[in-house]
Amino acid sequence: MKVRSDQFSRLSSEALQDEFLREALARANASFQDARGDAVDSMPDWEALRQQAHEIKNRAIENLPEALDAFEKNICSRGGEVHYCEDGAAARDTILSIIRSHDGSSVTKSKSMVTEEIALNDHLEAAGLSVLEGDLGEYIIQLAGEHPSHIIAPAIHKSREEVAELFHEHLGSDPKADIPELTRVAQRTLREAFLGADIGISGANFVVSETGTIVLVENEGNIRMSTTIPRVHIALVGIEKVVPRLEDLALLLRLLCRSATGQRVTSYISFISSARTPAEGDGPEKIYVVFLDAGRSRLWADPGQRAALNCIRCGACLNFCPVYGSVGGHSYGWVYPGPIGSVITPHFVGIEKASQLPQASSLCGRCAEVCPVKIPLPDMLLGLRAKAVEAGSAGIVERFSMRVFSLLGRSPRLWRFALACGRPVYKLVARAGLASVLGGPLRRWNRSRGLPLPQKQGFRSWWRAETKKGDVDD
Amino acid sequence: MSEGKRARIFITCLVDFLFPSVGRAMVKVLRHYGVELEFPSGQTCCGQPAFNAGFQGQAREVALHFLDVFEDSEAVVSPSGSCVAMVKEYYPGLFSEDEELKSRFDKLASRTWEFSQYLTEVLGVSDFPGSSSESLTWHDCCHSLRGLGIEEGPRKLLHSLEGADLRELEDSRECCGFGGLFSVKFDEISSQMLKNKLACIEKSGADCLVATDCSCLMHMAGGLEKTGSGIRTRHLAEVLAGALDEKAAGLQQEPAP
Amino acid sequence: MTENYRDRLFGFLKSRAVGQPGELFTEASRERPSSAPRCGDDLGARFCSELNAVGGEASDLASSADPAAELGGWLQGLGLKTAVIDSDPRWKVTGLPIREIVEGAGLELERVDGSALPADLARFDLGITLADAAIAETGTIAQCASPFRPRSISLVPRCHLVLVPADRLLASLEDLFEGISSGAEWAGGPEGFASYFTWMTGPSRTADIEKTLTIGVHGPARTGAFLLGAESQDD
Repeated sequence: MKVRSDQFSRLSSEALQDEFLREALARANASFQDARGDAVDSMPDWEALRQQAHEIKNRAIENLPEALDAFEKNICSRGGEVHYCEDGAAARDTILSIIRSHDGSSVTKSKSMVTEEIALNDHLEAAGLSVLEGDLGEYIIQLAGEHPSHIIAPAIHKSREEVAELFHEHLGSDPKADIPELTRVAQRTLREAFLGADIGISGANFVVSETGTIVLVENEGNIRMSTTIPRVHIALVGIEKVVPRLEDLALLLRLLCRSATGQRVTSYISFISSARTPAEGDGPEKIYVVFLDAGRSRLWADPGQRAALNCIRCGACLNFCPVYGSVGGHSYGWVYPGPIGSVITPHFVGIEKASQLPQASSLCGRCAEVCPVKIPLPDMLLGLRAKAVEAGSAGIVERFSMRVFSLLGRSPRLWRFALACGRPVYKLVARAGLASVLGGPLRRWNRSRGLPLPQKQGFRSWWRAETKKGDVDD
Repeated sequence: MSEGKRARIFITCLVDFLFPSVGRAMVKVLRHYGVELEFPSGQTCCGQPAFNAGFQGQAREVALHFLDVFEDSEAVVSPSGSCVAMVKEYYPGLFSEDEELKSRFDKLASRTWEFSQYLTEVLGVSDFPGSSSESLTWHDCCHSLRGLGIEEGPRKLLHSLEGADLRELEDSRECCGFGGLFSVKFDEISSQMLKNKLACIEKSGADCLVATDCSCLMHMAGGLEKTGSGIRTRHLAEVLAGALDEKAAGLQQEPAP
Repeated sequence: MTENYRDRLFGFLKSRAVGQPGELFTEASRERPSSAPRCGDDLGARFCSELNAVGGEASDLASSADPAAELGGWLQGLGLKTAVIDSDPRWKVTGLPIREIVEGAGLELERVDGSALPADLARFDLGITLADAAIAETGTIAQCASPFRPRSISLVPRCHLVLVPADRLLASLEDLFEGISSGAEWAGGPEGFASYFTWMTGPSRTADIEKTLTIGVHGPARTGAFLLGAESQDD
């Protein structure tokens, strides 16, 4: 997918003008937050659970080569085939050649962010294959020629009217159809596609080392369709999705479902360990796992940022992020929005192409507070900001002012002098309403916020007078 | 009860420059409890602006100066949650490569307190003397709440005031949109967040918004002023000092034109 | 080409490892977290209340005076024409005359084994199966692929009826995973975890348009789950 993360400022500015989007985001976030809140409250000790989940994911990520190797051995021992791909191009080619080797022509897909990452649909369609998204939200987005704006609710930015219009145009349904009718229309169209598909492509929520099992979590049933009906199942999986044991899932699934949608468990969770056995009639004849690196190993090699690979993609950090809630997913310019997107995007696409993302946060910390695996997202944003400065990407004005700042900050005399001179100058600016004339940060502040005026007596002179008075009193 | 307690106060650049009344109020309240205060005149800034912008080298230099000024204090108290979070949460990590320095910063961190924290956790105050005639509403500043875990302490103090009328602030845990340079680098997003916050503040029906951080208060006060709201903003220290005597000044003494 | 990348990736990861990581497989995975939700003693009641809360239709036949009549009543209420049932040998020991009940409710019933194909199963209005396991904590039905039961019998018909033998009702997710690891028969037996194991908790659902909950997308819109009494199993 084309990276537009360096245009965050412009994209977010446009998004802020979009009245419907803001309402949709407010409604969605409120509903996600309420649902998660109730689900969390129903647990005896949420914090202990988060800590354990953090430890489980850490264990897998710290031992990544061993964990991947074990998974591979186990799934291969039951007839699966595993590929490792360095980047999107390699993954696209690998998947296409698998499809070709099975003479596949029609593909159904289950919702998967990682396939968005490598723009798989475009590639397969260009190769002459028919590709249909099975998840309702993804299907809407596909028809509209757009990209998901939320990790778990891809079409959150679309109104029912827009969807009705879209379905009317593409599927000939009633342009005034309501939501249940729209859902039925999609279901009927996709049912035919599922029954006729020869290739099913999914992502994975987890892959389990000890048993070689692919775990998929969903509510609609489209993942079950794509992994049951077609002759071939291909799972495209980020290398970070591995967990040690099946037993670890008791905890992780509880956290994932509650954090994502507030459910105790979702409607369907599939555990796939092999293709169908000779006695079974349905299910794929062959299963492939295509592991994607695409920046993950680079991120892994960075100790301060590695914990970002612990993410289980629940979307809670988006749902609680006031920045995401204001500008929506498309503003982030690539696949992963919100706080986790701002952390991993620079690693995956290169910091030079996403330098604005780590800056676009007030560091309020809500994301870290709700993260089910305790990823310290604000600290990671700070780390990325530091990396950007190290790489020399800060502007000359900022670099200069930070030099001056640190010089003042370690020289009390200069500091006091600067404050003493600064106060009258600032006072003049504020009193005369010069902020808008001077431009820059002051003007930007002043657009929606008044400038405070300094009080008459500074603290230092008051303290001096106060202590003298005290001395006299004594 | 706090006989013999001594503390050095870190007044922060924003308070020094714009809101000295907050510093004066904190001094008044702490002295009321008999804490012997010292104001080291060599103090400057905590270095947060540089740190948050990614200039860790510069932040380190300022942190070392802070250590110089405050190292052998019995306690360091400051009327700003975010500056205290900088000292407690981030200073030690900035020196993780140097064990000796890191342990000195760890020690400093363990002795540094945000004003309301010092009052409730060190001095053990839960009932505050004095009264309040205004209706108040409380905003949880992000760094105080999530960085330092300050949540119930200040609410208890405000509740304990005679005649206290503490109104619920909807979404009080939501960020006001300040975020330091974020507020000017991404002013449109920041303003949207502020707008949401202001709507909740208006809805609370309170006369006065109270919080622990002058930066967040400055942001919200600036927004209230622009919208022509009559709601005042005051730092917790000012409300408490005002409860001791009614003379403490608000942040918005001299509104800009 | 991709095989090469495996070696390069593993080489890179190993070269950049920091310190000595802890063990990958530890007993910590198998410890029961004290933070797990409590299910209470009455697993049947918990199962039913959890499933009903998410739009499933659960009932405990153990407490029913006439299980066959209750089941028949539910089936009749569906107003459907055709049903398909798996050929699980445990049907014989449930003690329920399932064929009579289904046909008595006015449905045509066809029996299939694991070789049935999705397109054929999609013609039926109702799929009828036996649960391999059920979880009280969440109101979940768990089933493996087996020679007796196609994977899609619980997926492609518009409605799904599942009966849960009393000895297959487990308390928690931990119990379920422990069962799988210890080679429980219901999870594939001692030869290993089943090729395909699926959890179903209530009907298929979506909230993809304006966050509005809509029931019945790709999977069944109605799901009935009936717990069987212990006695009926002994018959």
